[in-house]
Amino acid sequence: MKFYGMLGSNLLWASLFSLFMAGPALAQSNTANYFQLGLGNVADLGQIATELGVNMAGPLQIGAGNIASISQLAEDAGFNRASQFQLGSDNLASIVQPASGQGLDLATQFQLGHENVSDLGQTASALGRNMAGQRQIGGGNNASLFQLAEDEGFNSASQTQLGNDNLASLVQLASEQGINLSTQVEIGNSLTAIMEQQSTGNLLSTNIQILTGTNNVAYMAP
Amino acid sequence: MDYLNRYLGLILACGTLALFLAGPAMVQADGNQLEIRHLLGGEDGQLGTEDWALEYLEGIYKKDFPEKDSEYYYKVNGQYLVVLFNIAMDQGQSFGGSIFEFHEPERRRQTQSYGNNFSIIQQVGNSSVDTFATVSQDGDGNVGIIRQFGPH
Repeated sequence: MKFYGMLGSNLLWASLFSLFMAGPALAQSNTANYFQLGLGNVADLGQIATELGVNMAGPLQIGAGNIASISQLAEDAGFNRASQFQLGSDNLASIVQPASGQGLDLATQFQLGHENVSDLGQTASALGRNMAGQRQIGGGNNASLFQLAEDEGFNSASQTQLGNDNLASLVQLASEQGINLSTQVEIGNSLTAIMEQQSTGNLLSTNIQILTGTNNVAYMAP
Repeated sequence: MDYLNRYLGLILACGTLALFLAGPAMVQADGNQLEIRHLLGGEDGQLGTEDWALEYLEGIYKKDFPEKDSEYYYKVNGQYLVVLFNIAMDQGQSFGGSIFEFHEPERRRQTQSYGNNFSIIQQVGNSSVDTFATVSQDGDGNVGIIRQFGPH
């Protein structure tokens, strides 16, 4: 009996060890990088990950008139990570990230130059989490950010712009005890900042707008 | 029986460790699909035939990627273009494709240059196979498209 007891105990630990080691291997990951140097370049990326899947993308573009677009879909606790870096003028950067089932979206956009446009959209359902940051340095830039979280979702967003004649728009929607956190910082003249938060059965909403300079307009609708 | 009991734990631990170490090597990259199409502006690409270039490149890729399925070499305007298909690591953890040019004078691979390049990479992984892709382009008017899909 002692022998079988020890056998069972060891088999149990061996099984648990095998399950533990096999677990992480189930997560499938997609990784893509772009490096583009020049004018009028286009980088377009689509990624789909399922069941604990991981998507990672990091385009880098140096030049003017470049376009970088990323679309990432993660299902069932999927994880999306996207970073866009553009150095130059007249560039367009866009990110779309839907995640479902406790999915996590992380996105960062950075643009250095003039007349740049950043668009970022994130949706998460069922305990999903969205986190986004937009940074623009230069004049005449436009940054827009939209986040939707359903069923105890979590939204966190920050926008920072340095320069004149910039526009920043931030919209967050949450339902059923969702959480919205947002921050906008603009430094310069002739700036426009728009922030809007909507939620049903909301648990927490905080928003901060900081504008320094002259001829600036701030709009907040929590 | 006491002797067996004493060493049973060690035997099972060694067996479990052996299974764990053997596991990844048993995973095959079945069902992977990788399509790389490169549309060349102007002339049609032709397969490179210079032995020295092939040997040099294969040496690089055999070192970096122990198991490879196929490679294609194009020579356009004096430049080699290297396209890799279905590079599956022996442990089945990753595969991917990259597109390079081959710089003849210095006998090295380099990123795409001269502009107006168009690259499409489509990868389909499975539950144990990750996908990885890089597009490097230098010049104006380049288009790079990557599609990566997990298991369906």
